[in-house]
Amino acid sequence: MSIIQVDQLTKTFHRPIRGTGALGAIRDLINRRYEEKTAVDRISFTIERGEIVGYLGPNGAGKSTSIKMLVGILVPTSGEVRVDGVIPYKNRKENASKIGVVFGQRSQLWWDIPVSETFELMKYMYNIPTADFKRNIELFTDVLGIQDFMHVAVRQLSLGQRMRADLCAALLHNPSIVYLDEPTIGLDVVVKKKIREFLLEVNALRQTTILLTTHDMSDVEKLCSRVIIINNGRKMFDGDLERLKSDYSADETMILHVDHDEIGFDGNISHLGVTDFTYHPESGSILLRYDKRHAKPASILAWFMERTVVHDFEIKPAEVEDVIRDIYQDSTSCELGEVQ
Amino acid sequence: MPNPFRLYGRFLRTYMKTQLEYRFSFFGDIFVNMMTFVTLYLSFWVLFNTFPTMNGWNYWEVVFLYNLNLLTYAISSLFFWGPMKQLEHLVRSGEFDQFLVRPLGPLKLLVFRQFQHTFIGHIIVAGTVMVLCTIQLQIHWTAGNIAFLLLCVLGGTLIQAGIIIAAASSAFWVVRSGTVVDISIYAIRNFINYPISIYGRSIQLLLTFAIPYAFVNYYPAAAFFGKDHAGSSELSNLYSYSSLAVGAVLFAVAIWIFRRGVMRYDSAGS
Repeated sequence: MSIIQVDQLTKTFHRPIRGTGALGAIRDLINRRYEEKTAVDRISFTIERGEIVGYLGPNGAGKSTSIKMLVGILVPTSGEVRVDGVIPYKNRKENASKIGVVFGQRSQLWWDIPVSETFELMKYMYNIPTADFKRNIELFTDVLGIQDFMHVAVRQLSLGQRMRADLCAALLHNPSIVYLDEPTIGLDVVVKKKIREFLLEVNALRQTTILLTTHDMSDVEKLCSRVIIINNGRKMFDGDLERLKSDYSADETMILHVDHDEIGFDGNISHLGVTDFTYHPESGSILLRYDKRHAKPASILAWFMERTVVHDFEIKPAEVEDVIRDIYQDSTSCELGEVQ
Repeated sequence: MPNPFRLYGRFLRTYMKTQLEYRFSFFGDIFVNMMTFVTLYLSFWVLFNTFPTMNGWNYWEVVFLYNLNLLTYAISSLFFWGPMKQLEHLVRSGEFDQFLVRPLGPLKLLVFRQFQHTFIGHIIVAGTVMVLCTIQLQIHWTAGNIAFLLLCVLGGTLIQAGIIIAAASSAFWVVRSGTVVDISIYAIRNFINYPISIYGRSIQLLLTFAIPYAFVNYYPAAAFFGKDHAGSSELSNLYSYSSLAVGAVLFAVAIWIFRRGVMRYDSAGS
């Protein structure tokens, strides 16, 4: 059975519209008007044990709201969530004992006390057996390099240190699911790398299911076997990275290395489906961009080989980042609907 | 699920460790709080120099009444004052999130994370002054009236706790819930600094049925000193022995309100 089951999940916020100025404030007092905002709109998906899923979408797409319903912070307006057999907001405590949560923007650690004390508190809070606790501390401090600031008060930590400590604290009780909301936000490349390695190791070692939101596409490429993309509260895509690229990355770039002198064509190649064309005489390279759905790379290559000497060529598929940006933009202008 | 007592013990140890790093400030807080009461008793004394009794209550009886309020308020505040004063901010900023992802109820967790040591000062003052009052009033101690008083302190503490929890839970419904808390625990609670028989009928009803502060000190103290109280009747004589029951019910209702509120929590909408 899937460890996470989400069915037609919806969250609508109901909040007062505030008037501006003194007059507006008085009017609100007498006649308060409300607006409804559907942050998450009938989203469904399932996640299997041990998967690492990237939950992506532009700011305000409904990512955090969905995660907050999954962890039990918010009560859904309609639809269903089941996490490892329980309904999170109804069985908050039971659910909480099985999950780990890290919100990149907000620390879960206790501000005034050293990291080590927080870990001790976690041991009591989650009833972690001493042997497990010791083993985890050893493993985690090693991979994340926490020993250097183990006895420093949380408020004195740098962002990267705090993030690592937060991650460690969230995983001490061997949760079966970990939710990470922008875990690498604002971190340098070294810390990012450490955190990714750590997550992969925990996932491999314990079959920990990981659901993360991020705006960093290298997080996605290094970590996620699957991505779910949402926008305006709706699910736009659900599948693995390869499918994302093949389904959506229509744009490809071809680079041809040719003999400088012998290039002989008039530059009119729109009939091949090429949308963009640049020639760099000094390096003898031609950059061609085309839509895969309307152009055949083989015919483009053949066309050039008939007219000039092609020494070498390469084809670059679009980066994940470009693909996702396209989906975001597409979905704001027209509803793509379910892709599955 | 963790054992709450062991966990709280652990939290207290950690809390004390951080507080005692600033030892001077720790004891300073307590001392300053005690000093503020000295001025308060002076004002009582000035008042009673003008009126020797207040609706049949003499100076020491009113001081006792006042301190029963203070003592129960301080005991409940050790645990609830801090988190309930914070709740408005936590809910509005969305920081309340972190209390909902732990294998412990959010109210327990809020209480466990802190300890308002400054109220130890109130407790020392109130306890000492109450003993002083009973000496001045030549109270004859029996097992019966000692037990009665202890149960009243317990009931009063539950009432004080229930009121602050219920008031603070308004944070889940209204934006400026801090005002609701302040009105409840400062403005309205001040009514019971004096015997409520000095007020009009409507205020007596308010303090008995709506916000039952009168059960904290007035009704039990009236029985303790053998006085008739406002609107004395068969039924209202029962009030004197109802503090614990009122406290237990009010506390349970407050927790229920808090839980209802948590279900409405919208995490700053983001």
